[in-house]
Amino acid sequence: MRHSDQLAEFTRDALKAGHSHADIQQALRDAGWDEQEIRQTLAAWVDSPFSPPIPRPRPQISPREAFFYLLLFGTLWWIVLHGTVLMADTIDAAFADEALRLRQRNQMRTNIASLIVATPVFIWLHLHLSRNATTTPGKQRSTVRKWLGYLAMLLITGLLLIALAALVRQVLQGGEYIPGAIKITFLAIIATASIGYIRAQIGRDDNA
Amino acid sequence: MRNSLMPAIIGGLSIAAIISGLITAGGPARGRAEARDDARVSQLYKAASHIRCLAKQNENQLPETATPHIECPDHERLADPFSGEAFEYSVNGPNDFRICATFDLPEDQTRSYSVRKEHDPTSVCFDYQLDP
Repeated sequence: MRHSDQLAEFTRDALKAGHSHADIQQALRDAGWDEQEIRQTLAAWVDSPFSPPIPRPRPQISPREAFFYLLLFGTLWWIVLHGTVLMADTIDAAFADEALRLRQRNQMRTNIASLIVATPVFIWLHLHLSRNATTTPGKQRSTVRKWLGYLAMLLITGLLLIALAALVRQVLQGGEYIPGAIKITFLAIIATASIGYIRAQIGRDDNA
Repeated sequence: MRNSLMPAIIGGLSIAAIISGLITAGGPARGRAEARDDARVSQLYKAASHIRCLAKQNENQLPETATPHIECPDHERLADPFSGEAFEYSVNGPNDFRICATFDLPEDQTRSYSVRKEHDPTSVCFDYQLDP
C-alpha cells in the first residue's frame, strides 16, 4: 500500500469513527506526518458532523480544461514576451540619437500585432474561466491549472531573468541609466502582475 | 479583488505598449509609404539594369538619354511604379550614372542606402556603375 493511500484510509476510518478534523490533524501531526500531506488529505473531506463522512468533489483532468488553461497561460506568456521587447525597443527609440530603421520598425510591428491578438484573448479567457469557476464549485480546484500554472510561471520567470540580464549587460556596456531604469521599472511591474496572476490562479489548487 | 486586478494591470500594460509602439514605429499609413518606397528601390535597380542594357547596345558607352531600344524592352522601368513619373537619369562619368526618384520617406533611404539627397527634399538619387 502506498504511503498516501495509508494516510487516506486512516483519515476516512477516523472520520467514520466520529473524530473531528482538528483531532485527526493533531493525531497525524503527533505521528510525524508532513503538514501539507495532512492538509491535503483532510481537504478531501467536508468538515461536518454528518455520518458517513462526505467526500469533496475531486479535481478532474479534462482535455477541454487543459486546452483553456494552456491557452490562458500561453497568451499570458506571449503578452509578457512581446510587451517586454516592445517596451524596451520603444524606450531605446525615445532615447536614441537617430530615427528607427525599417527593420526595427517591422520588428516593433510584429510585437504590436502579437499584443493586439493576444491581449483580448487572454482577457476573454480569464473572464470565461473565472465565471465557470464561480458558477461550478467543482471547478474551483484544478490539477491541470496547477501544473500548467507552474509551467507558465517557470517560462515567464525565465523570460524575465533573460530580460534582466540583457539590461544589466547594457549598463555594463556603458548604456544610459535613465532608459535602463525605465525598463527595469516596466519589467518589475509586468513581473509582479504576471507572476502574481499565476500565483493567484494556482494558489487555490495548492491544497488540492 | 486581486483576481481581477492583475489581469487589469496586464491588459493596461499591453495597451500602453501597443500605443507607445504605434507612436514610435508608425501606423498603417507609414507602413504603406514604406512599402511604396521599397517598391521604388526595386524599380530603381531594374532601371539601372535597363541602362546597362542600353550601354551594352551602345558599345559600352552610357547613353545620354534613356530612350527605348528593341534589345532592351523594359523602358517602363524608368518610371515610378505608383505615380508614373519618370525617374531622372544622368551620366556622371564614363562608367558612372545616377538615377533619382521621389520617395515618400526620403530620410529612410538615406539611412538604409548610400544615396545622395538632392535639392528637392523628397528626391533621392542612387549612384550606379556600368560594371556592377
